Amino acid sequence: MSDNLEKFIGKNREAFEDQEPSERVWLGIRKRTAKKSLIWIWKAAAIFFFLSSLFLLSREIDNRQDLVIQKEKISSDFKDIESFYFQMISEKQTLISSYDDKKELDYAYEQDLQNLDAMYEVLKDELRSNPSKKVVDALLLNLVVRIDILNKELAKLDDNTAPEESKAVSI
Amino acid sequence: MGRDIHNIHRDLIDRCLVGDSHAQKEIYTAYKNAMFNTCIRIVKDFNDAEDILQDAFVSAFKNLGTYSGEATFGAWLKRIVINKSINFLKKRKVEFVKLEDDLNKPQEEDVDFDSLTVKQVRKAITKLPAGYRSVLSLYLFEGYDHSEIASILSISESASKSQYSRAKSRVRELLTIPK
Repeated sequence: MSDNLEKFIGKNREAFEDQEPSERVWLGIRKRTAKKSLIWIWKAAAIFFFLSSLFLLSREIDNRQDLVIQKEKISSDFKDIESFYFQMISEKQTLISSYDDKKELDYAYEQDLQNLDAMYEVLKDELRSNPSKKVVDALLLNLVVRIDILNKELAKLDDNTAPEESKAVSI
Repeated sequence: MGRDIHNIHRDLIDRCLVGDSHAQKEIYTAYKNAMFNTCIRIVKDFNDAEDILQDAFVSAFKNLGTYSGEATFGAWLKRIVINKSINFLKKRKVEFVKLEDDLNKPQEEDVDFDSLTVKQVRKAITKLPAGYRSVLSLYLFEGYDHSEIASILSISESASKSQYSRAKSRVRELLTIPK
């Protein structure tokens, strides 16, 4: 059976709902969920570089004489740079996996890395068959984007551990 | 999509799933006030409630893929807000069961609710200790039953009932104190 307090609240339920959050709440939400849109940027970048590669491929057909020499030089130059970036990426991944508490990570970044992997394989095929500076630039960009993603995840892990500690102190 | 979403926001939810920020804003606008009032009733402080609201929406958008559609979207979202609010209180070591008994409880008839305003009643509820306030809010405002409250607060069902009864007594007591 309802008592008077329950009846009062039931009768005036809507009048109790008059509080509104400030604009900063939405701005924070938008900032913290904005990285989702990077997926679309990467997809657009992949299409752009793929089309660029196709365009370059058609031009390269006219310059077949120099192609063999160019291929060897570009490929050998890129190998050194590639191994340098691979080492850097490997170190950052090892660092992420060394964190004990990764529950705050949403792992969306792993999906992003897989997409970049797939893109990278396409570009590598292109480099083998039709090496050019543009393809090398696209491959380098791919590696730099990966490092950027890993840096952000590392920063997030650092951020997620720091506030917990400060909260515990303030209790 | 095989999911059965029982709400009017199905299209918005599908757009949020692919990271559409306009759809996220629409969902936020539709639910922000209801969720904020739920949150502030539990944690009391305006700034803390804003922080929790932000965390809850970020968590909801990131975990939207786990929303099965069995409950309404609003109920699913509210549960996230409540869990975040309760976890916030737990981090501040709020006791949900150990509070002293009220002596000299005012009787039901001692309070004339017809002469009271919403503001006065809200002020009395706000003055409740956090444990009492949580149980009273979940039961009276959010419509959970005592078994659900027991599950949310990790207490027994009988503890939820007794806390609710004590919370109401304290509200009556606060409302009978001469202003």
